[in-house]
Amino acid sequence: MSDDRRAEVGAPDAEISDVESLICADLDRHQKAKRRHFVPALLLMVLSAASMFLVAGIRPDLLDQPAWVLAIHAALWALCLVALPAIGVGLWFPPRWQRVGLVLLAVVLTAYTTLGLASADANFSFSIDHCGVIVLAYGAALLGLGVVSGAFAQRRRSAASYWIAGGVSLTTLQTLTFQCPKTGMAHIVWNHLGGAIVLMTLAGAVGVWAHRRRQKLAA
Amino acid sequence: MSPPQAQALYPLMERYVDGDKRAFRELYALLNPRLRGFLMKMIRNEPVVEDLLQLAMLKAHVARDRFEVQGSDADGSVQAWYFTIARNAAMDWLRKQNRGAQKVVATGASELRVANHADERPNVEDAVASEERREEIIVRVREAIAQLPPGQRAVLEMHKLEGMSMAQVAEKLGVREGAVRVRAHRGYKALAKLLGSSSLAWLWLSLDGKELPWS
Repeated sequence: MSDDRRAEVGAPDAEISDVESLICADLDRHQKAKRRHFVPALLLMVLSAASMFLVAGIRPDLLDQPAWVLAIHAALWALCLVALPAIGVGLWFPPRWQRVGLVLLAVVLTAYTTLGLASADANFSFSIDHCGVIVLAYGAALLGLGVVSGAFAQRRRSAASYWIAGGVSLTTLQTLTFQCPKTGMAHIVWNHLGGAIVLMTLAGAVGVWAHRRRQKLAA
Repeated sequence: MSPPQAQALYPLMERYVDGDKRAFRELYALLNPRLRGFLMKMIRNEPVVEDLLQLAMLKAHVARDRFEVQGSDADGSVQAWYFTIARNAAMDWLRKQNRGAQKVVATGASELRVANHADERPNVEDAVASEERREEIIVRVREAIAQLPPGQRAVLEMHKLEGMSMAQVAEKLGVREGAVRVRAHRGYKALAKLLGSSSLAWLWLSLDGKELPWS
């Protein structure tokens, strides 16, 4: 195999046969098609969050936070908008330890960003207010986008739907965290986090349903 | 023959089916020597084994979404699946060889033999549909080849359609064999793009071109 050919296929040591390069080219084509669907869906999600900020504004104390806190928020945005959905639709295939790390990171960062600005007010009222409703309504819209775009049915195993469900729920929660100025612990735990957990459960169930339906139609 | 012990094939297969190119390459590297050894025991002809191996990998690729784990051994299922496809490809080839030999040796008795194997023959509708599909694919492949740059086109035509080896092509074109392989590789990549997901066209490409009415 010539150096030119080795460089082209990106495998310096392995012998690349014609069939291997044909199949790799076909897989590349499929991945490109997936990206063509993924990018507009990502833009729609970003636009929807931006629209929410334009309509309802951003909480006044958000930009007063130190730069590293804002960096954590940015990392969480990247996780929920890009990393988790990319795994869910099969555009990124990190090894198991990285997947576990991403999940743990998402949980820790979410807890920090959501509760970080909360006060020590532990006066739990167990009430659902409009923030809980916003989480579910906005989340349902993003979920609908996922179902219509076929994002839940891109991978072979239905368990992959949970990655997209996680992305949808975290995006919704982050959007609300950027907007809601309330700092009461009871409000945040019940309406923000509680709403997000309900949304994630719902999104997971809908995702698995959409996946199975698509598989059944394809069979 | 019992296949050798499988190692962590299933996770690679899952990722490959989901579109992971790296997983496919790892899977290919693991399975290729095993399948080659398996086919060599059946066929004992290296160039034919190479063609059958490529054909088996293409068939498996086209059918990858239909792979299912059988029983509790997921890794073993992957290996068994590939071995079954390779064995079927080899059996088809052996049958075809056998039929060809019988045709040459005993043309006088062919009518009797055809009558005995009437059930194996496709019906008229199937034959017509198959012929139409075949012609459509041939036109598509021919159009795709025509779109290739002249250097790549010449190599593919000589290698796949005229059945020449890479060394023969290199000699005829007066270039190094390595250069011919580079052109062929680029040509195949370009063809894969041009032909899209037409799996049948892929399968035709993987067959010996001499069997096709290209001209």
